[in-house]
Amino acid sequence: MADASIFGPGTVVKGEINGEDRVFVRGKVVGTIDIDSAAVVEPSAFVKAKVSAKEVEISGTVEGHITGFSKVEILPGGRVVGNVKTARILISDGAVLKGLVDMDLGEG
Amino acid sequence: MQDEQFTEIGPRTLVKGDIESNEVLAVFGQVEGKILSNSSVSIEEGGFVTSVIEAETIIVAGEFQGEAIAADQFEISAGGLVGSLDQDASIQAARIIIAGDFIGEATASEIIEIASTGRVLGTLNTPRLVMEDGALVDGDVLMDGLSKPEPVAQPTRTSRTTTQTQTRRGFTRKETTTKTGSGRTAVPVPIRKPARPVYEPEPVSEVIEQQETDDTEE
Repeated sequence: MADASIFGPGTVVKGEINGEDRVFVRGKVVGTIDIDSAAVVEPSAFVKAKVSAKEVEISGTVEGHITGFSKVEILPGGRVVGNVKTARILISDGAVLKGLVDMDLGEG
Repeated sequence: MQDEQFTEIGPRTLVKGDIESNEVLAVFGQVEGKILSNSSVSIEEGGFVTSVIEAETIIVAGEFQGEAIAADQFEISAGGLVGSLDQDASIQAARIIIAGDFIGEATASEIIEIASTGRVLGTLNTPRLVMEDGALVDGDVLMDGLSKPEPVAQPTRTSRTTTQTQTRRGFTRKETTTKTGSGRTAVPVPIRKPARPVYEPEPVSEVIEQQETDDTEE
């Protein structure tokens, strides 16, 4: 059952989250998220961290730089303050992004 | 939304740092750091946590190294491991249940129960201890103040019979009064019958007389 990591709304993580599981954030994360899978920041979430994942999906709040190696998606209600570096980016109507978008991953 | 009130750390996830939580937390992966919770923390099979856990209840089916304080219950499930030969664990809880392996020091304010699958290497501090058949304990068991028993009047070879009976009578009376509240029957102190005749020193006057005669002989 547990093939993903879920950080619930009543949980605060201060530090690093690493690994290969998909990560769902519903609470608060301060620090770093660096995973080889998808990171999903849900509406109740507040992430003040550098986020690095294969795919990043945001409908909550992220303050920090985001790297999505294949895709970054900011959904309605999603709020990003920070730079986004990715191969593909999707921004929905109602999403907020304050920062630079870098889609030139090839040059690192 | 209610079913979302939990946190699960997946089997291929490593969290380095501190976690504060007021909801159920299950660790299938790895946590290096401090977990503070006012709910339950479970380390599932395959899960590994090092450092510190403070929670209401803690269940370890995986592995835990470090210090843990549970306000209510700490349980090591069968197959669970707490502590290692290199590093003793320290756990404190009201109730501690050990059905897995435990190496270190456990302090319970109410009771420690060791199931038949439980193995303990270390020290158990508890007012009550229950062990099932098959449970293994290698180490110290300290039960309240009984770990340091009050010095029972040791019958020394020169002590007089009158003082012995006095102290014994005083000891047993004290036991019955202090233990009635706890519902525990006082263990009667076996009063050893003087099987051998009590050593009676020779009358002092005779000794002195002998010495005097020795002096005069010189």
